[in-house]
Amino acid sequence: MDGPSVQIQIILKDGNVRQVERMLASLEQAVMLSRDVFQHVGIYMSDCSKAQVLSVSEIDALRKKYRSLDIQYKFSSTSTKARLYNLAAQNSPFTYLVLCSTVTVFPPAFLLSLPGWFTDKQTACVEVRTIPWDNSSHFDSSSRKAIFFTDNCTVFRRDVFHAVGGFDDQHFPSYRYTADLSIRLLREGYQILYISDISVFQEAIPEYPEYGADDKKESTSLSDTIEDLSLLYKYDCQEELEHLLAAYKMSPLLGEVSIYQQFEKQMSENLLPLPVTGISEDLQHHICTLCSVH
Amino acid sequence: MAALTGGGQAIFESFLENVPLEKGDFFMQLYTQESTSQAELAASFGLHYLAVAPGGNKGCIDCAQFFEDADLLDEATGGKPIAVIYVEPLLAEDDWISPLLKIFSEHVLCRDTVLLIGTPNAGNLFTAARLLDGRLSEEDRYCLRGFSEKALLDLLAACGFTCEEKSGLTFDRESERARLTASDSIFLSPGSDAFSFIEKLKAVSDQELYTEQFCWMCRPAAPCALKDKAVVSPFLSIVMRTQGTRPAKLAEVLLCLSAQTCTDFEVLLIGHKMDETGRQHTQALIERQPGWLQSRIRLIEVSYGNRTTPLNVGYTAAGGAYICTLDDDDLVTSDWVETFYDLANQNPGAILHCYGYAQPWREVALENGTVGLVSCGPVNSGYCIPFHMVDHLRVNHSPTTVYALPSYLFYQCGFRFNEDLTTNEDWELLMRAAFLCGVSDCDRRTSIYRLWNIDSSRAAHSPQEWEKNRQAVIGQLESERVLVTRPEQLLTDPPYKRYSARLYIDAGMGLSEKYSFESYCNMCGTFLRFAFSLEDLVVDLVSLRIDPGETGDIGVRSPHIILRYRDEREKIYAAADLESNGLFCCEKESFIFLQPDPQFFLSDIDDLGIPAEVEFTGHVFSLDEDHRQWAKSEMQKKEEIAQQEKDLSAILPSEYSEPIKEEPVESTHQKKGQKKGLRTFFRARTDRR
Repeated sequence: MDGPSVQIQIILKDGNVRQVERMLASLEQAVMLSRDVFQHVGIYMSDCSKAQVLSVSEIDALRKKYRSLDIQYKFSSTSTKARLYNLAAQNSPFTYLVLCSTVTVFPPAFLLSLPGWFTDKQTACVEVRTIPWDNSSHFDSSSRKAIFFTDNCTVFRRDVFHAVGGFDDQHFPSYRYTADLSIRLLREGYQILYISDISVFQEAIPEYPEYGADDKKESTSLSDTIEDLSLLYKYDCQEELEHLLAAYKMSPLLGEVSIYQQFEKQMSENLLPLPVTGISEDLQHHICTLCSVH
Repeated sequence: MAALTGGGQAIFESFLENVPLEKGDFFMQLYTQESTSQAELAASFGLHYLAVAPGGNKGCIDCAQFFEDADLLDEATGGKPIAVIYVEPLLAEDDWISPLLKIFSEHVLCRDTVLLIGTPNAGNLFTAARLLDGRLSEEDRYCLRGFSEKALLDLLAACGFTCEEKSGLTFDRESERARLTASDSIFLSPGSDAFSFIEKLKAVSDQELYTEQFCWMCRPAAPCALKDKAVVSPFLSIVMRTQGTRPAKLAEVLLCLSAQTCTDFEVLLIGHKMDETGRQHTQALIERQPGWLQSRIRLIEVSYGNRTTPLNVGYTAAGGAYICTLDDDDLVTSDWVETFYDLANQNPGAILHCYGYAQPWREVALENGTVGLVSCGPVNSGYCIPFHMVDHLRVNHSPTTVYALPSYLFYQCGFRFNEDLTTNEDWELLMRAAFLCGVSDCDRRTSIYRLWNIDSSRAAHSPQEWEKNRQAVIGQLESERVLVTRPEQLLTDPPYKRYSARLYIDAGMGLSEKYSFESYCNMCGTFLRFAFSLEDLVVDLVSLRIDPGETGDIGVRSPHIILRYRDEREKIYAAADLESNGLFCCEKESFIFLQPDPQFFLSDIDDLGIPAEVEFTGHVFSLDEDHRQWAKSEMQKKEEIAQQEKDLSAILPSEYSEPIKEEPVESTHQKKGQKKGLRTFFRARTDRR
């Protein structure tokens, strides 16, 4: 492709067919308004068996209705989110990757604004604010620079995504993969921006089942906590990690004792990520804050 | 009661006196069963008299011929115009009249023709009251053969006429009321609330409630079919005021609307006093929306009035079955319209009320010169409560995004926002509507009322102005006469209110928020029972604390804490075993809590193993003045003892200063927890959605 192009990767984790239709209607408008800017916009939707949003007939109907869009639909029953994003980006020829963790309705000016976010070559990715639920506290409100990004709606330069090796889906398969990549990007000298003057609409349903049919987790919180501990371990937050492990070990609750036991087991079996040294105190502080360790 | 005489005749004569009439033109009377000839009236204005009736009775021309050929009328008049058509009394059984009028209006009448129409008012107040009572008078039965105001207007419109001047004969209210007083029915007794409410209801939808007979003068108009609302109207009309000065916020609201799962709505975007820039921004924004949404947006500009005026313009122009207000800087979830839609299906006609959040937001100036919008605090669930009528009498607890009103109130009952109010206009109208329609609740949380640091209506008006308007609304509400159909909305504590309690456990490291468990129960009379499952616990309990709710000024009688163990044993602790941050009244086996956040402590737990469940029971009661007096005197005693202890320790050397055994009630156990040290490390999942 000669001109710039965009791949919009959406995980249909939450939502229903009517919300997907609203999303496609918004994309149709955004693509039409940006046709002079982008040579190609590809819409990639991933569905899974536990939380399947669209039936085959619904997909066909949507493709017919929005025939001006290049819609790709993939059904997956084996991937975690980090793995799925990596697979989506693997052979992507697009200039930009838009990663959305749930059904997203885009504002008309979304694609028009996108190139402007990357005028600084050091910008690796931008996270776009979501409404109606906004929880933006991890960025500098004036410079827009952020320490971490989430995968709610994040736009990547695809070449940077490939250069840093994408998400670590082995050690952070479903929770802290964005935090891990954020730290790697910052260490490589890239910057992350948070866009607050434009927003996308996302509405997650909290009770929805976790993505990935083959996840044999004992519980969501347990695996998430293990990822937190792995993050502290990887980035050399040794003191905080020890305090936290001690607290879990002595906890009166069975679930927390299990966390300690499982982490110890992973450590003894060398399943944890390789530790990285030379992390600045500031960054370590941010990691601890992210993991709510004080 | 029969055809008009006296006053009615005088009204029609006065109509004709003000109409230019050519002598020699025709006066046509459509002659009904109960008509009296108006030949004399015609003659007095120099008009030729012509009577038309079915079958050609009483020397009239048979109306049937005109159904076959309207031009025959010209033959009958020799080509002279019909200056006046007179129908009186028009009764519902005279079903030949309206088709004939329609034919005449379409084919042979000119714009100057006057239609004089008289009919009894079927919708008058006194007949309505007697209908409810079931005892109709002869006069009532006659009135019911006539038309209500709306029915008459609809009939005229269908025939191609419009009403130009209204008059009529009115009841003598005092004599009618006197007549009703003799009745033994509450529906017919003017002193009863039932009658007053009927009077109020009638007045809402019908301005002619005291009219006995209508005497109207009408003119031909272009015939129009009655509007079929079911076919052309959306379910919801969303009225949105904007000045075009905050396009970023407006863009977000439109984004929320473009995400709606139910698209059966229209948007009336009322541009109020917009300047050219604002107009351009707003129009550009609309033009960028997806096609389906663009087609649902109507931009209406209003260049006059205060901030209430555009609401009235929008609500008047709305075509939906329901109407709501959405500010151009708030947010709604994708099921916002759908929630109203579902509620309307369950409770058509009621005000639709759902839950909403509030959240502080701010604008930030970005380095690139644009303005960013950022939330600066968590969402507040203060508006996630059912509609409560009594609470709303003093303060508005419903931001506009949490309710929708039936449009009937506006297009039929003449409801309008009070433009004398510069703030609180939404509250005043909501309450007027709530007294009539009632409120149907749904606990879905569908909106976020954004509290901006600048640029909001809260900041645009002074506190004094808000208070002045609030007092004006309260004054208005106090003068309302209402019947209540849902008493539960009046109760301060709904009978089945859901209560929550929290259990804090100490397994050797003190009490902490982390090791706390929540439980809910419905209050049954005064009895509360909370059960906390501790299946996950792996160590013995040292102590525990239970917070049964957050409200103060309550008492708890006969509280019990029951520990159930995994081997099915259980240990019951009664009031005497418990401590609290309130006061214990031994005689009544009750704890008194003057302050909010009541807490019960259990510290001497028997070592019977690891409990699987903790249960708390007790009877809750409100404090009366005796309780409060007793509690205050007890507090005073305790303070005196504490002071004595302090004085003693100041006088005596430290080795002699024995502590007084009775310690202050409050915070004893909190200190215990602190001594053992709260955990330093704890985690919270605040970064996940």
